[in-house]
Amino acid sequence: MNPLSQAVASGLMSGAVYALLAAGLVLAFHTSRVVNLAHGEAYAVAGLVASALSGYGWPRYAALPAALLAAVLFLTSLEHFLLRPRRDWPVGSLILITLATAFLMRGLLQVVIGVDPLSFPRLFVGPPVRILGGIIPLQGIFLIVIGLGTAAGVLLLLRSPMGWRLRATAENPEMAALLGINTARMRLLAFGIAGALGGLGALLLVPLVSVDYQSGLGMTLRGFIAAAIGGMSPSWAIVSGVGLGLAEALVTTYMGALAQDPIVFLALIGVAVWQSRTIMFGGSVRA
Amino acid sequence: MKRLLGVLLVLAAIDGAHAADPFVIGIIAPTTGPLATVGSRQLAAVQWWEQDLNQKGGINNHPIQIIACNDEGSPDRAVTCARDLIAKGSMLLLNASVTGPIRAVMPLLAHGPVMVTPSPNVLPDAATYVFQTSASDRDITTAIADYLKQNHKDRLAMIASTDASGEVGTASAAAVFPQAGIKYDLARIDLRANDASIQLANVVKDDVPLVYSNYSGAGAATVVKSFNNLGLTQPLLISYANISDAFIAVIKNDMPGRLLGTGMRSVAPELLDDPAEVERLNYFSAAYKAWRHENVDQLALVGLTLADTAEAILTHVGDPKNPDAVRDFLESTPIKSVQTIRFSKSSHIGLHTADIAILEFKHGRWVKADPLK
Amino acid sequence: MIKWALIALLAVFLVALPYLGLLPGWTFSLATTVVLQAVALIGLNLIFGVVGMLAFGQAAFMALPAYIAAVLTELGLAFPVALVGGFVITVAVAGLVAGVFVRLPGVYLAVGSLGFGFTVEGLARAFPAWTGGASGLVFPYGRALNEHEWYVVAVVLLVIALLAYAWVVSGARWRCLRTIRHDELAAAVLGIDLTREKARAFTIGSVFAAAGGLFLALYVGVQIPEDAGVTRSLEQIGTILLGGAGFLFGPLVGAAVVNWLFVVAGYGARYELLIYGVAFLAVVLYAPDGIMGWITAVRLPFGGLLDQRNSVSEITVLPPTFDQGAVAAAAGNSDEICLRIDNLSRRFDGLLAIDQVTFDVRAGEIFTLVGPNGAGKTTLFNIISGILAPSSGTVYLRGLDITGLRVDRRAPDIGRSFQVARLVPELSAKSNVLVRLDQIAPHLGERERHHLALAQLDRFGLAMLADRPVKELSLGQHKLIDLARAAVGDPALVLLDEPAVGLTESELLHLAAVLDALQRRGSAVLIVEHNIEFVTRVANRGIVLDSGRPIAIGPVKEIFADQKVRDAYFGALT
Repeated sequence: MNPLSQAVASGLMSGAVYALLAAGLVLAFHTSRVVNLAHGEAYAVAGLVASALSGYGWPRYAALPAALLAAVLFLTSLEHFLLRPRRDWPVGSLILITLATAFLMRGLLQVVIGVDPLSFPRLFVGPPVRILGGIIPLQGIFLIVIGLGTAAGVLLLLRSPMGWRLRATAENPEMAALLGINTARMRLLAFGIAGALGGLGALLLVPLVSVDYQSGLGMTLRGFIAAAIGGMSPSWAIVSGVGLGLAEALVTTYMGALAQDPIVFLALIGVAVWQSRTIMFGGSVRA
Repeated sequence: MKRLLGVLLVLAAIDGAHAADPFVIGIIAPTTGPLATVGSRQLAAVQWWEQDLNQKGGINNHPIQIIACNDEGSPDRAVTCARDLIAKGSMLLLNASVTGPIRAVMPLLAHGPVMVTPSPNVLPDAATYVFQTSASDRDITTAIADYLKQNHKDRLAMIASTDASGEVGTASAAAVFPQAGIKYDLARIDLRANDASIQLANVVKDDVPLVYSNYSGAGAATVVKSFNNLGLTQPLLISYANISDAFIAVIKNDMPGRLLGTGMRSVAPELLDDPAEVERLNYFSAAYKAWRHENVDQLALVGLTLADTAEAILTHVGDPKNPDAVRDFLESTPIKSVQTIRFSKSSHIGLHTADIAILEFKHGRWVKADPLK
Repeated sequence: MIKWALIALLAVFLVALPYLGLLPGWTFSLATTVVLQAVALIGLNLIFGVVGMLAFGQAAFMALPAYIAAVLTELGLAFPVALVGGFVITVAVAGLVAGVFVRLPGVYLAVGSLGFGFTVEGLARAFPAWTGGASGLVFPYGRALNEHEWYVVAVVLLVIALLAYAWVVSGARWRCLRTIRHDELAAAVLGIDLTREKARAFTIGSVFAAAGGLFLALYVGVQIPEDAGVTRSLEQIGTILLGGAGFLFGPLVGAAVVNWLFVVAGYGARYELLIYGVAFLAVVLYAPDGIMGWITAVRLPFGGLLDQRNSVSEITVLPPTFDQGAVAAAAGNSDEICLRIDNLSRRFDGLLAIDQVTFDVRAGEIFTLVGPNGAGKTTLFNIISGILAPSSGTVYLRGLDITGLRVDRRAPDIGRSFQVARLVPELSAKSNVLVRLDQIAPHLGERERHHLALAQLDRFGLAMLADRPVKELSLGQHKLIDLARAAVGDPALVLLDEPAVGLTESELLHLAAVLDALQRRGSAVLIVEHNIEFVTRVANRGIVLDSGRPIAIGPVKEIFADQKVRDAYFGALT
């Protein structure tokens, strides 16, 4: 086995997850100005619902879509019931609401599901694939392809006319409404798609690992790091997600897992400094 | 609290006499946070014991009252929990947490009460009031080394995580394997990893007869699944904390060719020779399953050792509030549980290498492991 | 009097609470932990609540002192020296990284500081021989004290921390930081060195984090790598927001509520996290400014006094002997050239916004810059201010080439007002004017500066509004305050961007009088204006720009009579 190829395979899988989570965060951010700290809970909800339903004997073609629906419903409910009525609140307060929602969902999942990690069978079963001296499970290949593809799709969406409407909803809601954009629907759409992205990430990844009631916050963090290091810009979210995944895998391979955090995150600080060298005043996220 | 009230009412109804003062026992267990699976299972065993004993009238007419506190695996919460439990009158402290928080609590017990913990890495000094019922991680590692030597093997691949259990496992490996003449390759895996293929690819060379995953956190399933993804054929040995139905449920679609584990001999009852131990095990398995609708696993057994130690103390020590009396008792008397726990004046660790078995998951249950080919 | 007595009583009650045992779960142990956490959080409140910097790495600064002390002990130092060393080195590290971090805007600061937290946690795990690793660092030095003694120590530390914070973050520094939070561009134009002030705030914040963290480590006796990590930092940001960001007592209230909530929720066993989540959400939904924000908004009896966010002063009347010329005036005789623009051009990706503009403004002269929209007037102003660099050409101020000079360094000599007034809404009118004075006249005492600011407002007829928060005032009043601020201190050059817009006739009279006074003192004034009638009244000379090119320059009456100018405004007929 070639350690470099293995590292790349592993890194791409991680990177696909990062990219999916980042895409959802960026989409919600560009439509509502809010950094949705409950985003990772969509991942946890989908993963746990799929696991629980599979555990009860539901066939995959029923359990997985149900799980995806649960994730979408979660984020759209958050937007519709909690965020929308308070859309004129300062951004910091709205972000705090999403954080509180994440805590609430975590508590709810613990009561309903319990503390044990769960999992469910893979969608794509088959012998592992050998590429250039690296081995990757079939599900892993689909994770990379579907994950990156979907993330790219979302980012293209943001560049399309629909995307402009979504962004207008955040930039200037009153003006957008005056121009005939149904801002409420746009926001619901964005959060719904974000929920689907988080859920999709769970459906693809959880069979390869496991999921528990606490997985949400960790996933939110990953998505945030990948999105933020690209400046919350749609164009950079995939690149930074994949880059992050690969960096972690390469450092772990050649320097061990203990070196991973210090080195990767020091590099991250460097990237942050580089990315912001031209910005003179202020920034977009403010309390 | 509610449970106690219910029990008291029942007792009053049954024999019409007032129950004596309850024996208050405090237990610190992480029921949330990264160690929730470990803490909640050990706590469950102790709670089973409380209701089981109270149904029978308690100890010498004293009902048992368990007060639980969640330390979330965090030292500062652990200190608050310990102080709280002592202030509420705990005569005994049980601690189902991990090394860091337990170490934070230990200095508070300079004058008692006695604390009993099953965490394998506390290694309490014999001069303190702290007792560890489990074998140490080094003992567990020695059991693995013995298994290898019995099968005339001298190589091993090992995966350890970057958390406390992985750190201890790494240290134990360094202390035990070279002395036993066993060459091993070790790779560490990050807590947040999605995939262990890098680590496995790194350490599992063709001539390795056994792969040992010391990772006991929720992410341990990742190692097993990656093992499967890479198409590896060696037997895989998992950590004692994963010997449970819940863990098997997570990996059931990714089972390796042979799944081994380290555990107390009582996990496989046929490995016990003392009939009293077998009887305790059978009773516990049946009653626990009826109460919690879940099979007994390693963590429940570990929790039971805590409970049985507490029971022995409360039954035989005249004044259980006197920590010196309790300490003397524990250092001189073997505790009968699902295995016999022996402390002494020079060692506060209750189980040893001989009490650990290498197990294998066959036909849906854990039995003594077959030899290595 | 009664108010202060009641507050003192409340404080005594709160300190005595663990002794009284009135609140279930509020033990000495919990109270000590809460108080020590609050000490550390005062720092994060400064960095995040007051200045608005979203820094996620503060938990790392809390954990570093104990880790560094452990390393120093390992190297052979005695423990008291090691403890002090740990604290000092942590603050030094903070000072070093501050310079890097505060330059990062918004989201980048968040992720950079997050990275710092992960790095420290990772390093703690990676070197177990030095830090105790994942199993934890045993820090036994605090064992000598018992529970009650520790509580006293913690409360004393908190009082010292609160006093230190109130002293350090008041007056000029408070005004400066709130301006940075609200509008960094305006802050720079007013003379605030953004990087230096933010770095200082960051370092000061880390002092509190290090102190609180060190004492916590001593109290608990064990520190694990997760204590430095990102989860902890995230919880802390949540705690600050819950308590009330920017409020003096925000950190204490936040820490108390969060910790107590967790204990209470713990009585619910399995439902612990759910109860906690519900309670957290409830507070967040009904108290969006945090608990302290709710208390002050609801106007509880102590609310006003607890609202530390608005610095109100008692100086509202000028002493009779006050000398208005106290600030070194930009003395200049009318032969001196104050501002010289030489062949200035500015290109934006192919669009030539300013095309070879050249003109002079003399001291004591009022010069107007006119032209249709899009003519390049604001671009020119921004270049003179220093916000934008020219593509070619030079800017001379009193003979010195200032083309490359940083924005904030120009503030003593250049005052500027904006098209839409850039004031800090929560500060009073006087405080807003003071912000500029703080920067250009730091040698003057606080009282003197207050007098000057008040005098300046008086010139504009705004003295009676001096202590009202600007958000309560009208837009026209905002405009005037902005103008007052731009002109305070009689700078050599005053740039006014459409000052007459939105002013009533009487306000225009005030403005004209002020311009006249400026002129007599020797300041040069450059006005961009559309109100031709007004500029014809007040200005001496002017320049007309069209699509970036000058089409007329000279005395005001002449340029408006020029046919080219009329064509530019109204369109040529041919």
